[in-house]
Amino acid sequence: MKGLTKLVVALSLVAGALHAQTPVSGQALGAAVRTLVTNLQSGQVTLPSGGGFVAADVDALSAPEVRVDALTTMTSGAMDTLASTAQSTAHLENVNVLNGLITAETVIAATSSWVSGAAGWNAEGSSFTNLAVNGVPLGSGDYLPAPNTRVNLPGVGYVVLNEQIANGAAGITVNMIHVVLQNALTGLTTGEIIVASASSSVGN
Amino acid sequence: MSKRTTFAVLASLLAATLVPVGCRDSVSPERRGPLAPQFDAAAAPDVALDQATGLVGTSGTALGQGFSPTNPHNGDAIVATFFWRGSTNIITSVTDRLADGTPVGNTYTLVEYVQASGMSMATYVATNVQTFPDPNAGWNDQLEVQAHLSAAVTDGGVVLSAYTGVNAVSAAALGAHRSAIGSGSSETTAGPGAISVNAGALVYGVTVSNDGVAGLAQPPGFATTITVSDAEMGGEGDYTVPVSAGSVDPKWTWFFNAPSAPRTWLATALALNPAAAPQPAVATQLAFTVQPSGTTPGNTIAPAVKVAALDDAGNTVPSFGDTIRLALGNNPGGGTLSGTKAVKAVGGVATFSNLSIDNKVGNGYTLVATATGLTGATSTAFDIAAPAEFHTAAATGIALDQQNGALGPTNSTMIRKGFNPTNPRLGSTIIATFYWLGSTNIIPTVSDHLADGTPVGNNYHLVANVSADNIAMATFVATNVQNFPEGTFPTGEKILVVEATFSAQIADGGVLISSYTGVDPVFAQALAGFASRSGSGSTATLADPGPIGVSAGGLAYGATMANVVVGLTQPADFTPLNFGPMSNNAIKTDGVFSVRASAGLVDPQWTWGFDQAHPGTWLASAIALNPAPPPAATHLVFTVQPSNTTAGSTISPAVQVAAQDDAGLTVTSFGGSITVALGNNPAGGTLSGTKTVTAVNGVATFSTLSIDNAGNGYTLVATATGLTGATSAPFNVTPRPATHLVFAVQPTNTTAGSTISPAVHVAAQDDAGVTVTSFGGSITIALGANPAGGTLSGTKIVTAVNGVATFSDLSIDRAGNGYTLVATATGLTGATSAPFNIAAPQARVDVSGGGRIDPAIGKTTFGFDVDGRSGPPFQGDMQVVYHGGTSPMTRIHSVVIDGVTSSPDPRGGVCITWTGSARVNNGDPRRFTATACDNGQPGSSHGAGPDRFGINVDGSVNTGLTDLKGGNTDARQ
Repeated sequence: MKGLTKLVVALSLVAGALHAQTPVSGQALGAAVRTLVTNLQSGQVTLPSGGGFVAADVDALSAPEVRVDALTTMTSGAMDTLASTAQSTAHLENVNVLNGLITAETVIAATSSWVSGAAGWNAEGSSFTNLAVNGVPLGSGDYLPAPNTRVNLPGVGYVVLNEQIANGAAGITVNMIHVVLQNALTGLTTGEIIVASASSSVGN
Repeated sequence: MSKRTTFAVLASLLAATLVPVGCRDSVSPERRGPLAPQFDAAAAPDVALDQATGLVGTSGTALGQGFSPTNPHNGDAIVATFFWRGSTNIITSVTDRLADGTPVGNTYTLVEYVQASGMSMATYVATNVQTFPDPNAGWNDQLEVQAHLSAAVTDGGVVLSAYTGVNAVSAAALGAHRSAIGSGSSETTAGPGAISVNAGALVYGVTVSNDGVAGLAQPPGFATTITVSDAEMGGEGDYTVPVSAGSVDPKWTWFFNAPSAPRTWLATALALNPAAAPQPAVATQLAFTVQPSGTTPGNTIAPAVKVAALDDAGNTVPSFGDTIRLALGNNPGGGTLSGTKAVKAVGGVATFSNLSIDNKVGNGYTLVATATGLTGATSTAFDIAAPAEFHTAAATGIALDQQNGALGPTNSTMIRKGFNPTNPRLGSTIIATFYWLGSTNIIPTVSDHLADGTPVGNNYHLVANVSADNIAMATFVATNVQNFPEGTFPTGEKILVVEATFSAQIADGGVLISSYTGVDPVFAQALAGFASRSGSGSTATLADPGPIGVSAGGLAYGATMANVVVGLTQPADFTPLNFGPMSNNAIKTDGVFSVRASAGLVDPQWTWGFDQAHPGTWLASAIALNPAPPPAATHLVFTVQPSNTTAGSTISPAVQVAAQDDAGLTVTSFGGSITVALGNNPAGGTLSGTKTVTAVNGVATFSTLSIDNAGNGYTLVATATGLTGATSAPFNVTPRPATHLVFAVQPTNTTAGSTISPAVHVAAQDDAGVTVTSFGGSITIALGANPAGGTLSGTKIVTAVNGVATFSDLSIDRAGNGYTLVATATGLTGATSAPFNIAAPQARVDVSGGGRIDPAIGKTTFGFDVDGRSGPPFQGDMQVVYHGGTSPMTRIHSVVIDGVTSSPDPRGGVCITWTGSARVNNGDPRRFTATACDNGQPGSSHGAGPDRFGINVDGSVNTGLTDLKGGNTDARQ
């Protein structure tokens, strides 16, 4: 009987904590490559569980699959009894993926999540500048393709631009460039490349 | 009683004059008339008829009568009823006088006047009559009472009666009174009606009628004072003294017999209250009826001290039987009162028969008497003096005490002599010189005893012995003689007798005895020297024992003897003993003494008047005895006790400590150091001043002592090497009054709105700057100098605890330099604090956020986390990536923050601005200013509109404060 009382009390405390402060999470990534020969992450930052601000600043990334002149990633969040928010950004300059198959002067991935009475998220601020895929410019200047725009990369696989993956009411991940490498013969996935990824979540 | 008087008969018998009742008393008012009712006398003995008289048949302008033959007593009340023919009150005054015309002057007050049918009756009362002879010697000094009329009357009279025991105060004496009239032709009841009377009061009734022959029966229960009548009028005065309070209704019966002409009666009754009963005496105070007498330490104070319980008038209250207690009041010697100190009073007096005060000499002792509920009393001062033997030793040196001497007996083996009638003092020294006819000293022993044979047992030392030519003289000395009663014994049985027993019979001899106080009690120390010589001559011959040394204050004693009776000249510088010169037909002797002021040689020289016809041989002896040394000091005594004082003040009068001997006498030779220190120290005080003082004449005076802390029950302890110390009587040190305030803890610099810490302390201090711990009043604090128009917040009125008020929550809302606080308290001089500063509050903000701005000029992503609560230096981080248009990306990073401020956002939120240095694209650090405004975007309720962010880096990068396209800030003050 005494143990049961303790359990009830403990559950009550947990419930109170949840009600008082909604947890936040966030992550940003400059670039990640997973192939048979390459496995890297550059500029990855993860928001601490209690919130705060974490940033990474990389002057240059030069991998066989991805070259970036500069990248900066940031994630921040705060838990508050009135509102909890998290936001992440990845800001890359002069991006070159797979030896010019995909290029852009700037790539920005940005997400924002919040719970303040209502829950919500957005990816506003995400953009490309002078994006070109397969040597073909997509848009002019600042450009943001529709979410989850797929463009085939012949002999390579395909790329999803402005990939948005929702996670509950207040969770979102945006991968501005998500390349899926496929075996040209079998079509099997052999690797993937993610450039400019940001995710944020509140309450999940 | 049923009396019926026929006035016609009476008139014929008495010729219309008075009919005195048989109550006349020429001596004492206590004797009652035989007509007084028996129950009156038994019930109310205090009020009684004293004298009565009356008269009718008077005409003219005055009515009156004298108390014949015996005056009333002074203090009586006189009731005078005047009646006359007439219808108005024409009495202008009622006075009294003696029969010889001497005015007396008592006041007669009209009580009742009544009239009917041409007949008037007025009754007057005078209480506490005085100033007339009591008793009167004869007719000339009889007291007369007269009514003076404004017009002549043809017929009238008076009924006079005097009563003892009536209240002396007229207003208090006079009770109820009333009158009535009536008429009848036959037997008629007459009465004034009932009146209320107090227990023991006199009820006086009187009735008259215009029928001089009608019979009259007195009211039942009343006694008649006087009955008067003539042919035209008749009347009677009666009285009674009821035992208890109630209503009295005197009713007479007139036996009129006038069927054709009804007769009229008048009647009056009045009550006179008795004298107030004396209140039982109540003891209110004590008084010494036998004051304490001076005595010596340890001896009973005689006669017995008596203390009486007195009333307010100073009379002993015999009924007082409670316990009366005695204690020492003034105690100059620090003595202790012994004996039975609580005694039940007997007959209002307590007798203390065995009181004594211990071995503490002192002058000005008093006793204090107390009893529960009574005002106490203090005796007259008395002294406890040192015993005589000590007195002489210490105060007066050596002195002759007693002496005696005689020649004879003859042919005896014993010579003795007593100190008749007064014995020496105990402790004194006896010198006995025996003379006899003989050639050698044949005195084996000298002893003493009382005359009744009781052995005493003092030791007599042979000091000087000389003989020549068949005469011998031996002088014995006994020091510190004891074991015999002091005093005078006329009957002789307790007289101390000194006796020498000879080993052989002597033909003739004698002895000279003398006693001296103040000689050293130890014989070996007392004896300073002695000498004896003999010689002979046939001419005038100088006889001396030879010089001996005498110490200062020492006794030189000399004796001489010759075997012829010739003239003798005594030494010039010696005092002859009364019994020194003695002679018979065989020998002649002399004895002298001298107390020397200074040391030196003495040589008493007599001149014997030998001649050829009377050659002779002389003997001479001299003895020197040292005085008793000053008694050694054994203990200390506070001869001036420390008085109550205030903290830090010099104890005044100066404390004095004396070195005393065992007898309680100050040893004036003591000149050692005496030290005082705190004994009981109830408040942790410190004794200041000169605490070690060299005694002067045995007394050390401490004139600068003070104690810093207030407290009750302090004592001082006095010590001196080799002496028993002393502890003073308790005394109190009262706090010095607080006079001013001081900031014991000054206010310190702090920031606006912050509590001033440590807490400000304000203390109430006395003139000496000592915090008055007893102060518990309120202390108020306020801003003094106010350079920034700030407001002082917190608890500004604080009750001091132990003299200190602690202001623990003070704060000032505005920054400024040179603030001061002012402390005030009722009755005290206030204080102003030292200046202090209030700084602007440190930034207490934090802001975090991240997101994007997308102005037309370019794009910015950013994140930051700035904690302004703990600095400076402030903590935080920031990353900004900025580019506009086709410009390359600019990265702002490696932030160092050195300032954080906040300001209200017009949109309703708050903006946080932080400054510092940052590197741009890994370049050199540059100054930046970043601002984030938390306005609630997205989804926040902090304010209206989206959050904003902006950054300026040396003017080269300036995003402006721009709405966020994504992300948000979270800012708090």
